[in-house]
Amino acid sequence: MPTPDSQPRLAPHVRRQLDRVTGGAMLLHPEGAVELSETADAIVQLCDGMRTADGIVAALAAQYEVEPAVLRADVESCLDALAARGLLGT
Amino acid sequence: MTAPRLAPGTAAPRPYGLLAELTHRCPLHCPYCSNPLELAARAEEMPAEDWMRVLREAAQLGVVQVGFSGGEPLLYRELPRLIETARAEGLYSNLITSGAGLGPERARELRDAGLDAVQISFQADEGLLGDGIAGASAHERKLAAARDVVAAGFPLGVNVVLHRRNIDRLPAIIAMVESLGAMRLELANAQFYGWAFRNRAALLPTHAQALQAEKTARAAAERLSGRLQIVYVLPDYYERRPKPCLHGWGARSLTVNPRGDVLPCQAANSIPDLKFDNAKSQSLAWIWRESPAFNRFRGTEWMPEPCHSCPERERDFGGCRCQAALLAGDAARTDPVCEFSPDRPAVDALLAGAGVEMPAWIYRG
Ligand SMILES: C[S@@+](CC[C@H](N)C(=O)[O-])C[C@H]1O[C@@H](n2cnc3c(N)ncnc32)[C@H](O)[C@@H]1O
Ligand code: SF4
Ligand code: SF4
Repeated sequence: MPTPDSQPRLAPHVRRQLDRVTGGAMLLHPEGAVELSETADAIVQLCDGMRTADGIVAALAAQYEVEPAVLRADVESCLDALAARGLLGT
Repeated sequence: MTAPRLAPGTAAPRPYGLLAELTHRCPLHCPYCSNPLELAARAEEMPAEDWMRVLREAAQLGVVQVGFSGGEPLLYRELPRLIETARAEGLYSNLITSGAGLGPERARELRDAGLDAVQISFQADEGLLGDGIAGASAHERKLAAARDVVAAGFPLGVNVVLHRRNIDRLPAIIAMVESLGAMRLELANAQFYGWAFRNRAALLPTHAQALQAEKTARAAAERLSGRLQIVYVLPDYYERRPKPCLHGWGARSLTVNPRGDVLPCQAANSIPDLKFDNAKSQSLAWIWRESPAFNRFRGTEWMPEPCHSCPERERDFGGCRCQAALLAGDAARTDPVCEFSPDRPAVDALLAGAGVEMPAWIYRG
């Protein structure tokens, strides 16, 4: 699971791609495809290997008018879900 | 509540995955092979132009993932072109190989063509047993291939089919895979289709073996969590409930075999009374949405009792149609593995033989 200091990015074998059918973003990996909600996709796109979870929350807060506490919860649960599926690298 | 019946042509869901079985030719002869007894000859194989069209049509239908398999997919000469097409269509591609014929140059060539991932199967943790199971000298080549795959930068998956003669080696098998730098290890108890069905009496582990292996796999999965993902596929004859039919028949994936026949799953050839349409003469979209074979077991309306009124029916879909065909002689019956199936005695009779008889096996052609 990502810690507050980790700087998440997608694992090298994971590819983000827009789906031809729905137009939404998807993560492809050897065992399957994960369809991303708009929020999850915004978070994924901020996982650049430099930002920490705090950095991602800050970047989202600049973009959306949502309570930081709500954003923080979204970011944490999204990163945990990605990590649990082995989709994050270090 | 019953799920609404899927009206052909309207409600067919989209497929996500395509298994492309390019050839049945293979330098190995595994007795557990799930390929059909009637292997397609080289002259019957679908040409690359048709495969490229299949890949494009699959992507249009919604497929995002393709597995190139076989037989040995590396024996299909046009494989790199197919990988290029898959990449151009945005498909994530996985090579499912025995490892035979995969050296450092080949690995780089496939990488450059756009291949995303590689899965190599092993028969055992060491050469004597492994080559004895494969019926060919293969183990050392697999070890080398695994190193080449990792060196070329691919994510590596390893698959080991477990059965009576290698299941006790599980701790050593796991230790070997730990040293390969793999991301994922699939330990699949032999599923009894094709050659494996023919050899089932020789392959079926004893109950004690199966229980011990499950314990070993579980402990290893915990110990290696975060480093090596371990997936354990149960020996379903020993279970009381059947494994689900994929994510539902004709619900999420499709298989195209070397002749170009389009199947809901790789074992569907086990059902003699279903006629499968061919990708050379029909579009993939028509076959997926309209063909009788794909609509035959969609939804729940086709189900007999005890499935029809069972609360599990949306979860396991009545179990495996191919297993029903093989063990009960009718694909539309409840999977005989199910404790509620009137055909369960057929499975129990097989289990009663496990550990008593030890017949010789017949190598795959
Ligand atoms: C049919 S093989 C074809 C690809 C390649 N020749 C190989 O063996 O890796 C596809 C995959 O199915 C696995 N397999 C073969 N027979 C099986 C069976 N009876 N039950 C479960 N998995 C099986 C193989 O180990 C391999 O990972
Ligand atoms: S399971 Fe063995 S015999 Fe069957 S295709 Fe794979 S390597 Fe060949
Ligand atoms: S009766 Fe049918 S639906 Fe119910 S558990 Fe058995 S196979 Fe599944």
